[in-house]
Amino acid sequence: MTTRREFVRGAARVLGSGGLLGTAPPLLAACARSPTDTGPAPALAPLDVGDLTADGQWRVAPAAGPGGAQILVVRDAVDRFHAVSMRCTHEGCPVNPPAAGIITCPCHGSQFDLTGKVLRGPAQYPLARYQTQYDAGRHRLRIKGS
Amino acid sequence: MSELRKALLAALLMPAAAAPHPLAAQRRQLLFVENTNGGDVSVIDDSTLQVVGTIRVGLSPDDIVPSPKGDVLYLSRMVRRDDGQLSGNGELVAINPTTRRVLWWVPLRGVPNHVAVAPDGRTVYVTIVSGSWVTAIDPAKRAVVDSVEVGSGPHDIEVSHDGRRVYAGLIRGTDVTVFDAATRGGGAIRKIPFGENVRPLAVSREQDRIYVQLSRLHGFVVADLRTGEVIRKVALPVPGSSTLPDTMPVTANHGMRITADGRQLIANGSMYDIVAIYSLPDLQLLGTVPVGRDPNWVTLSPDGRRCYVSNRGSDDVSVIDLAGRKEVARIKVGKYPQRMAAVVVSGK
Repeated sequence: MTTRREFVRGAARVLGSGGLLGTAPPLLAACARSPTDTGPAPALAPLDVGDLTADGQWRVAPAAGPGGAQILVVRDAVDRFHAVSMRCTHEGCPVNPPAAGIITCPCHGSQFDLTGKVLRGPAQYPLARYQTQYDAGRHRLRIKGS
Repeated sequence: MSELRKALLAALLMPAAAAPHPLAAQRRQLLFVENTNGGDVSVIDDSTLQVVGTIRVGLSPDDIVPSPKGDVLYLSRMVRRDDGQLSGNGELVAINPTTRRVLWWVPLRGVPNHVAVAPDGRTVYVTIVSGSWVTAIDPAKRAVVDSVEVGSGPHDIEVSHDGRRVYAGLIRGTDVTVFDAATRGGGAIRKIPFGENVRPLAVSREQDRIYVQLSRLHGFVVADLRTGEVIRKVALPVPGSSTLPDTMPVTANHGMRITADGRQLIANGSMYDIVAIYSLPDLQLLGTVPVGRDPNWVTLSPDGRRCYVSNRGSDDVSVIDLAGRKEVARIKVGKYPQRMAAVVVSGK
């Protein structure tokens, strides 16, 4: 079932894209200013990353991020982590976990580096990135909205 | 006002003020081409082979399919945020092909890919590639009415000619899932294994054969739908002195269609910018036609005389005369053209 919120989001987007300009009733124009999911997402529970002991090690966060996509957490340096969405920006397929430092989408073969940067299309946009905050004393990583 | 100005003004006004042209109400074949990276649909008139209009729909339309009567076009779209990121959801947009206006739209949960319409026009099916289900939409209610679990990453989809079965290929799996249209999967769900990620598919009118393109394959496979077994693998020709690479691209070939008389199969060889035409059912290669770059989809003209091939690498559409098996036009469209729908409309 489609919730009213989802419907309004869809309406807002089509209006925003110009798809319905000229045909939409005034009521929907008002809805176009309703909140969308582009705002900050709620922070996820802190993740224990004590098991990521070497640069380049990664794991998939146990809880999905905003929008339902899994989050890949990569240790890049002693105190630096990347958290990227595992939803391919081409057509939304879940990407494979990294192999030899490269994240590959099984659907169409797009490739990304561990920071989410596009290495090979057809994807045009980098993987969505989440802000991270590392608590070195407790090995906890806090992942915030993209 | 000078005489010259009057004459110029009269000349300018004349076309608009003139009586309708006698051919204005004729029936015309129009081709609608979705341009995924342009966020619009190019409209091509088959009689002039010119782009006659553009419909804005927003970024990342993925498929466009006509209703059986040709009076509505159904377009699936992945919704993107301003920064280009997918929102994770999509929408099905209904468009009037005559007025080229959006009629209505339905938000979809998950990222939609391909669209198929039941022959009676009462159900529209959309695959959700980010999930594992096919969404069923009732166009009369303009609402999602059901979803059918088919397996990981449903991609291309076709409804059988008799409307009884729905075939969905899995791009993240290796099966074609077949479900009963009447019960929408409430009955038995059948899986046909292909051993590789499933790309575009075509089902014969009698539902005795299914032709399937697969990831990393320059060719297609044929399965017997009665036994569910692959009975043949057809390698597409490799032009000139080219040889297949050691590592095949994920999308090797994309786009395939059976002609309305069931006697020919048109298959894109996307790796080599060719279209290969085979006889059915014996699968003899009748010829190949060079097209633009990275051909992605095949759509037949309503009169059956031509097929259109979208070349997403060169942003154009090849028009192929099927009797002569040659390209008669290559028409520039929008950015990254992929799927197409051809309908007959009345009016100017």
